[in-house]
Amino acid sequence: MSKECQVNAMVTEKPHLELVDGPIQMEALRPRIDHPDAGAQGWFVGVTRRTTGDLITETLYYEAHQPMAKREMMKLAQEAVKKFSLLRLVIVHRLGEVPIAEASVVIGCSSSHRPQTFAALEWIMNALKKEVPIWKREVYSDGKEEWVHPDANMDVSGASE
Amino acid sequence: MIIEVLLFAAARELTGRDVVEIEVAAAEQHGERGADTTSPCEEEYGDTGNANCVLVSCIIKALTQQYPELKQLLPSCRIAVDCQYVGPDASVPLGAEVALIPPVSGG
Repeated sequence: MSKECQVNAMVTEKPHLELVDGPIQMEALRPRIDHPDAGAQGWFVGVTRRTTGDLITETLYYEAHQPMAKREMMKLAQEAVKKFSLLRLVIVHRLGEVPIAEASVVIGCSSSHRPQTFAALEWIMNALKKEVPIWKREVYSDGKEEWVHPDANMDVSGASE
Repeated sequence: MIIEVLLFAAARELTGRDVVEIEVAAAEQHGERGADTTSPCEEEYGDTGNANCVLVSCIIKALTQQYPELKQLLPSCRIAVDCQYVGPDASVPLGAEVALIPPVSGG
């Protein structure tokens, strides 16, 4: 392989970001983090949980300020690529209803060694939950519904992940 | 001037609207109109300033006064201008997209 080809193989593609309305298609995403120089691939899948303390969740709904959410996702994705030397990165968030046990968010990345991948998944997920304008609405089995606004001085609680 | 603010999640639900219009005084308007202005923000402006800009802090104040149902949620909200978070001291140019961003809960 010529030196030029080697250099090209190292160039990182732009992170793949999506907001989707239906189920997240994991199989279709899988090849997106393939890279010949990767020694580690990792995925984080956030799913709708049924229980929050004593409360039983019936289902969840997500809404977003979509253009801003995409922009914030790109910002944190680019920062993560740089910070953890990621070779590939995929972030997909589902909007609308996300029933119990289904994925609301999927993050996949690859790196030359595993520490970067492990660290990146946690960092990206924490940043996403802080900065990206997406909100979840809990619908509980007792009929109660509420928007989840962490830190807000309101009668809202029960962040799930 | 009239500013449109996009609302999401609990803010949208509390007002029953996904966009609200609020009256916020710009600096020169205040100077020209003097006592005529009823803007909640007038005391924050001196004689200088840009008639085509309003401060983010004034938008928040106007929202509190004109949409009291948001009062409890507002202190924990952020403001975004043209899809970027801004601080209270930022000035918002006329025609920019303003959004009220309640604490986010994606993931």
